[in-house]
Amino acid sequence: MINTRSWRRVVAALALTLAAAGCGGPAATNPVSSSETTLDIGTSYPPTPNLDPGNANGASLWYLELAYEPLIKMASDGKLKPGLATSWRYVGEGNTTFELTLREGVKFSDGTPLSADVVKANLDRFRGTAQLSTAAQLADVSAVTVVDAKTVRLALSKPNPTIAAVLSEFYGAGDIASGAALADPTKLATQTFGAGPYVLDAARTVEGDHYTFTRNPHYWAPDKAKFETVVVKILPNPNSALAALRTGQVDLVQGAPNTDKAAKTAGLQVVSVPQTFVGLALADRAGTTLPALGDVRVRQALNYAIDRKKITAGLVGTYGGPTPTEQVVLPGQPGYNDKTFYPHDPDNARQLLREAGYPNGFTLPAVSFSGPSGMTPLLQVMANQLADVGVRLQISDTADSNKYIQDMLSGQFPAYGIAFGTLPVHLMGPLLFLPNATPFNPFHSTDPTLESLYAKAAAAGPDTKPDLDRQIIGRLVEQAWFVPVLFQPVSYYARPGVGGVAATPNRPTPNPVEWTFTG
Amino acid sequence: MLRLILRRLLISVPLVFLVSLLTFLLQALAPGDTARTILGNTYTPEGYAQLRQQLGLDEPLLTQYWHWLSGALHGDLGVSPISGLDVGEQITTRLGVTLSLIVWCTVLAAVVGVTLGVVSAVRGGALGRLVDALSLVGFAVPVFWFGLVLVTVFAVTLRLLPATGYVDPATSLSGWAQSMVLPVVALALAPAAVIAKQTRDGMLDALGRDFVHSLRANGASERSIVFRHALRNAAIPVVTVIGLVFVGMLTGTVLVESVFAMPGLGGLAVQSTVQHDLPMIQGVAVTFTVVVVLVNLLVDIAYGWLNPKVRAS
Repeated sequence: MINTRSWRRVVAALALTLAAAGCGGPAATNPVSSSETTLDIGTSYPPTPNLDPGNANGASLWYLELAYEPLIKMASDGKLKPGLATSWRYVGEGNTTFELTLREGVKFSDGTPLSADVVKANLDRFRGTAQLSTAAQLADVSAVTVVDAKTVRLALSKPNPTIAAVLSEFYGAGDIASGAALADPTKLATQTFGAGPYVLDAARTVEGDHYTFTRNPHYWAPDKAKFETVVVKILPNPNSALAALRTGQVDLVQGAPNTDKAAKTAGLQVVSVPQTFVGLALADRAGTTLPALGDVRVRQALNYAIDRKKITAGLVGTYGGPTPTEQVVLPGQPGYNDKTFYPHDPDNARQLLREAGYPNGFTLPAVSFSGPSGMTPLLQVMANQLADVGVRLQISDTADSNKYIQDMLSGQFPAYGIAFGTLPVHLMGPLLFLPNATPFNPFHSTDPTLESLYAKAAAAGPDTKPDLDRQIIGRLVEQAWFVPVLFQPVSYYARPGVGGVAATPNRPTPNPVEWTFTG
Repeated sequence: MLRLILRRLLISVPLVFLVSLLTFLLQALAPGDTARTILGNTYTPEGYAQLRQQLGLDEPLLTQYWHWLSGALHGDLGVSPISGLDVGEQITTRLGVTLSLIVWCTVLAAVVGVTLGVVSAVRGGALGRLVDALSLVGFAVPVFWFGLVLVTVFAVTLRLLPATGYVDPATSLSGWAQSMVLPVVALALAPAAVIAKQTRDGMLDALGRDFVHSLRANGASERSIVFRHALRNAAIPVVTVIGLVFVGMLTGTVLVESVFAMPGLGGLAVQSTVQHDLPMIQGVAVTFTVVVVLVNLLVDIAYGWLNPKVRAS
């Protein structure tokens, strides 16, 4: 419903519009002013879809990190550290029972205490509410049990070695809300009820413009809440965001590949890490709609035809750590194979195509999304190199992400452009390569070897899991399910004097709770 | 005149209804849906189906539309299923930003455009050609590029004005005025060029008519001829253009609001369309339609003031 306060604002703005034509004002003041006790952050998106931790994703991460203390924290190097849980472990062998020991003396921002019952209620909501994205993340959890006042146990329906990471703020299902908030979960979409260092100040927030957080008076580690106020400002245009940073309106902004150089030249800190692999997914691996893709030699030929170094240097440039890749994980990450599978070799590609019965190549239709991932320009360059070996890449480009997903899932396109932020190998399975992976396995491709390796790795202990992860990634590359080309970097710019802004491939988004003013 | 206004208002009722219905159907036909936006890439097929059912997306389209319409007729535009925010509140909060931007732009574009058009028509020569050239530039320069140039010069280099942001006038009047300057100038460039061109052409036509020669022969002053007679004669098409410019700026604000990070209706329209946020899209579409209807009504009233024949009819 429309309230009178909002109407008054409309009338005031209009009245001033008509009446204050002469108002110039002396010196410029910033709409969001920086001060020693206020951290101003610029980001491209409002919390999307909303502030409910059950629907946490990349666009809501900063907002939730400020207000919610996760069960397990993920440091900038990707290592897991205590949060609301002081320790955690798998009980017994096989990664099917997981136990958390909770911190004592913690209160939420509404003053109510943390308890094992509250954690259980949150986890039950996360996994039992189908319309929350956490339901899929916690699909393996079959029961949550309160062992005692500070111990919670999760029973898993099948082995899951990454449940601790899933319970961190970075992967979404670790942000615990107060028990009082769960009585009316609709409030979680627009307010915060966490045990984190800050709490959303609704009176000083304008939805879609800026979100003001103030210190949580009940925070268990008050010295870690370094600012009186944190303001997250929506700056959708990368050039405007850079201008806002250069003029002191904000202390840190999300960057974009095309503004990295300008940020560096302006003397700003540029933190950039490779995050998203971009390339072509050869989705129809059984050759249902395009028989050629059913032959592994053809898929391998497409990988040999691509000059990844040349494309990466041309498209990504020198800023942001350009990283050509033929694997879906980065060097140093679990699963990475320290070898080259497909050196650029067009002659070998042509030979493989001849052996597979396609000496004159074939036409490969692919759907692409011309969003900020750089997918479409990449596919256009790939099309030129594939044409050299006789393969005609036919790109259907759309600027509508919904249409892209719909076309991808329709089964009409044997291939699609892919931009996928890399994850731990186990977490990639249900999204990327298992038979029912949604949405990135639209043809439900199966490979018994891959599935067997995945099942073994899921139940493996820390001694054997690294090797099994390597075998999974190696199998994906050898079977050439994808033609990854490069890792697109993600950038953040901070003014000099902002410390603690760190990001690594294992945790590519810096955590605002860690930032400080150093001068 | 009163009958004209009443007739226009009556016609606008089915128009608003029709626009809301068409918007609803077009959005429903577009790929994707609200449930997928909420769940992102991480969802189970069961969860997706349940959410669709919970949101009523599995109901027939006209049933869904009726749910929305019956609420809207009672003054309740609903709540966004995505953000959980009240649609009416969001629109009224953002309407002030967008309307103040457009009204200021229209005023600036009209003053600059009419002045340039009149001066170039009266003086002619190099000034006339300059106005023509500037009009072309105004047409050609993309608004977002011009906005970024203004930010670079006046905010980043000269530090005279803020680079981004909107200040509520209730918070700071001077802050509000300063936050409006660059967006208004960026958005007003093209409309000013259109109005200048229309004014110049209208004035040249009027100044060449017989009644102007008669006025001169009767000893009327040049000032009187230009401002009392020729400009009034040329004003009707100019007023039409100003009305069109106002309506056209509703779309132009999308880019300006993005460049200057202003929380207006344009950004809300784009965001809710991308997200398939049906109640929000419906609310914005209806609001835009009402604004267009009111502006057209004002233009009609202006016609009547400028031209007695219209009043009489």
